[in-house]
Amino acid sequence: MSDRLKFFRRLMSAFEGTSNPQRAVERGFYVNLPNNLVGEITRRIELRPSSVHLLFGGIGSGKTTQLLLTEQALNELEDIKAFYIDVSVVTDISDLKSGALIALAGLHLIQFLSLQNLSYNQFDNIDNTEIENSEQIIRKAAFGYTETKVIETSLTANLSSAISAMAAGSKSVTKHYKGLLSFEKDKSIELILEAFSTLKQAVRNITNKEIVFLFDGLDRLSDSQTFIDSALDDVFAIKNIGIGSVLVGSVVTVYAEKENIASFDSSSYYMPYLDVFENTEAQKFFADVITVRDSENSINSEIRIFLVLKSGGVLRDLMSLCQAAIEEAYVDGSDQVTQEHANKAVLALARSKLIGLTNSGLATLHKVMTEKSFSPRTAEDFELMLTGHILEYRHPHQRFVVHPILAPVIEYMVAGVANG
Amino acid sequence: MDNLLSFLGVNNKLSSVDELLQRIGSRPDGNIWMIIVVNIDDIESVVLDLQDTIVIFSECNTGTISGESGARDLINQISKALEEYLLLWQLESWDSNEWKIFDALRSRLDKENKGGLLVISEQANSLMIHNAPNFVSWLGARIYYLQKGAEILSDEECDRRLAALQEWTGKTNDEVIALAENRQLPTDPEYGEWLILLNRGDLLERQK
Repeated sequence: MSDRLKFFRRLMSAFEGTSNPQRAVERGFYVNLPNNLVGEITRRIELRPSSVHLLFGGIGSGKTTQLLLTEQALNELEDIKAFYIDVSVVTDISDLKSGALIALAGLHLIQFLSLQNLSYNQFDNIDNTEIENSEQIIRKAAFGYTETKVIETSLTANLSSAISAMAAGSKSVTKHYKGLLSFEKDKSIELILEAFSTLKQAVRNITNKEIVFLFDGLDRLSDSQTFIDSALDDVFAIKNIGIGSVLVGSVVTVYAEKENIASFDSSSYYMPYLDVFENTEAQKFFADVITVRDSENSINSEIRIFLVLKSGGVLRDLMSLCQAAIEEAYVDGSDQVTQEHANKAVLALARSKLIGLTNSGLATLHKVMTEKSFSPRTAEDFELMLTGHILEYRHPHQRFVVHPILAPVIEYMVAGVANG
Repeated sequence: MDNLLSFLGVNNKLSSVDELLQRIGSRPDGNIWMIIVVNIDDIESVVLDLQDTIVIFSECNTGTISGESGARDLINQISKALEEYLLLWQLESWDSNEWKIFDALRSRLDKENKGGLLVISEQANSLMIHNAPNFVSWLGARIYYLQKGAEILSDEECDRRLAALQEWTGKTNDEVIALAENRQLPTDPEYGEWLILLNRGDLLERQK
């Protein structure tokens, strides 16, 4: 492999915005976010370890990074043990069931206990059998189980199954119970909570620490009601047995379920996109994000600012633009990212964002540009926010803008629609 | 609007499958996903073409996974796949809900490998854009269009490209063929493109 290709691959890799953010942190690429939420969430949990915290924000705003750093900060505290869980990795969140987060958290406690290499008699005041039973209940709840029952003449429940089994010459009935991490719910939440409580007590006895769970991935729930009915219910059930939680949610949930969320006893945080136009600190932060990754200065300061402004303060878009510009430079045979490469990157991202844009969506974007106000109400409004066509800034003041990568072409497109 | 879209479209339009392969070859290791939008009638032939050559450019084992049994099944297949780079196709029957499921399970696509490529039609692309915003945010600008048949270079264009490659490396066509025959061809994607321009794509197989 040529040195040039090695160099470009290394440079592109530095701007990888789709891998686990933990890797970027480990590579020394993390730059402190202005109005960093890690400190605030950590301090609040320090005061009330069993409190509930809801972190909302747009796609690609850096929520996962903040969550991972919060986990790290919490685990540096003397009396807190924090567990990070990407819920979507282990369960089908498109069909999230009530109780699933409890089962998941329970599995993490089981795993933690198994790694301690302790015998159960070290769990003070808790009977070994009780812990084993609790582990079984959580595992069954999470993954489901198969149960075979011998048929008795007095059997009335599941009569049809019994009749079919007898007809087949069998003296037993086998039934499969699916788990909460699968697709069906057939569990008693009270039983699961009781088992979970026992495990929690076992962990507390050996660590002498308060327990906090950080649930990631729930911002991908397309139905905000599921967030309220399943996820929030679970974290409050967990809170009631003395465990704190931080939960990530979608920007749509903030608006669609505003009153519902306010009714819960929780702290809410919102991670807006960063106003790189009116907030010099945000602009500097974004420029630093490029500088720390581009140690050989392949992107000069002028292009750096150009890309920062075109990103609209969306971290993932900044990464995409930088990667696309670097790729253009490589394909072009250049060793430096030029303005032409940056322009091509901007057009490529703009093209991706324009695909599928409807005329009514276009009209909404035009309205946001001309009236400089936006009040999201309809499903399409929420979609435009979710897809990053409309960006919300909150510092130095709240405002909505059309993504700067699209703004220059919206007028032209609106005129095109008007002319048929 | 059409004028503007076609103007913008130029940028994301691939001149050939080779260009796509070159872009894949320049990518670092990492969870990088791309889309290639082709005419629905050409999907199968594009996938067949890519299956043969993509392994060279991605420099790793490549697997092809069908989405015809739905998003959950596709994600399960991806979880079980041993290959490092994945080619996903047959997503045309997916409705909005399937794309939402796919989006919700996005984290499972990150296997700390090299990511993959989805070969889809314009219609599926549109459904994806509207219903899988989290996955689309991973793609950024990596949504490309390929018009099969239009990618064939004229003889003159072919000669011009070969001359550029010769100037860049200081090597002749014969030297490159000899390197490939001796399995000493550098892994830079331009060499793969070079062999294809010389109608010696068969030698790519030997580089595995």
